[in-house]
Amino acid sequence: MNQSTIKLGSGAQIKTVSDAWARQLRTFDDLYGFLLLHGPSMRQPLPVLEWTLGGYYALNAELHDSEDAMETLRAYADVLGAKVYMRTTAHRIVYSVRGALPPARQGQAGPATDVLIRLKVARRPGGASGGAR
Amino acid sequence: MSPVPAPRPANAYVRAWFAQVRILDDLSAFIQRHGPGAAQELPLLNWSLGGHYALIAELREGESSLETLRAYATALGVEVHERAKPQRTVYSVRGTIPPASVERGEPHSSVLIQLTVHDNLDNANGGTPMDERVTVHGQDGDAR
Repeated sequence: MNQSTIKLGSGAQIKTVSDAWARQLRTFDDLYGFLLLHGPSMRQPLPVLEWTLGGYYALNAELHDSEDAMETLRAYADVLGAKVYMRTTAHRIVYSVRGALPPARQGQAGPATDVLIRLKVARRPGGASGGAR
Repeated sequence: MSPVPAPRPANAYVRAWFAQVRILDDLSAFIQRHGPGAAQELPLLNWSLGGHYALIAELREGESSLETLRAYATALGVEVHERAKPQRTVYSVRGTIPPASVERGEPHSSVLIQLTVHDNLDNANGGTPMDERVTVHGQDGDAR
C-alpha cells in the first residue's frame, strides 16, 4: 500500500496506511450523514450526485451539463454555505463549489471532509452560458 | 435560498437516493472488514459511486497495481479479466459486495475495478494493431 504523504484540501496530511484507512471511513461516514440530512422529504432535499472518493479533495462530483445542473450546483452551495465560482477557459466555463461536510458525529476530531463539485459548460459562440453569484 | 431543482419523477429520485445510501453503507462495511490488521487487508482505492456499476474504481498503473487488482478479485471471489486492445491492456474485476446488513433482501452492490496498462511506445509503434482478445485469470493469477 502506498505509504507516501497525502495532502488534503484543508492542508492536513495523511502519513500512514491506518490514517488513510480511517480517513476514508470518516469520509464515508460524513457523506452518509449528509445524504440522510438531505434526502427525500427532508427540509433541504438535494439531487443525487455521482461522488468520487479520494484524491486531493475527499469527495468530488462532476455534474453533467444539463438544464438544471446550475440549479443543482447552487443548491449544494447553499447547503454547504459556499459560493459558486466561475472560471473561463478557451473552450469552456467551469463552475465550482468548494466546501466541507459537517462531521457525521458530534465532536469528531480531525480535518473536515472537503468537497469539490464542478460543472463544465462548453462555451457557446457569442456569449457565456449560465451565471454565477 | 436557491430553489431546489425540479424533481425528477419522485420514484426515480427516491430510488437513486436509497441506492446511494445503501451502497455507501455496504462499501463502508466492506472497507472496515478489510482494513489494517484484518485477515484479508486490502489497499485503499478511490471509489466512484453511481453509474451503471454501483461502485467503480480505476487503478493507476504502478508497480503493485496488478497485485492490488488480484487482491480485490480474491476478496470478492471473482476472476481478473484481461482485454488486450491496441497499445493497452485493460484488466478488470467485476463482482458484488455483500450487504452491510444481513437482513437486507435487495440485490448486492455491484463493483467494477479496472486497471489500464499502456504498452511501451516501442511495442506500440513497432507492430500491427492487435486484435482484441480477452483472457481470464484465476485467483492464482495464471491465465486460462
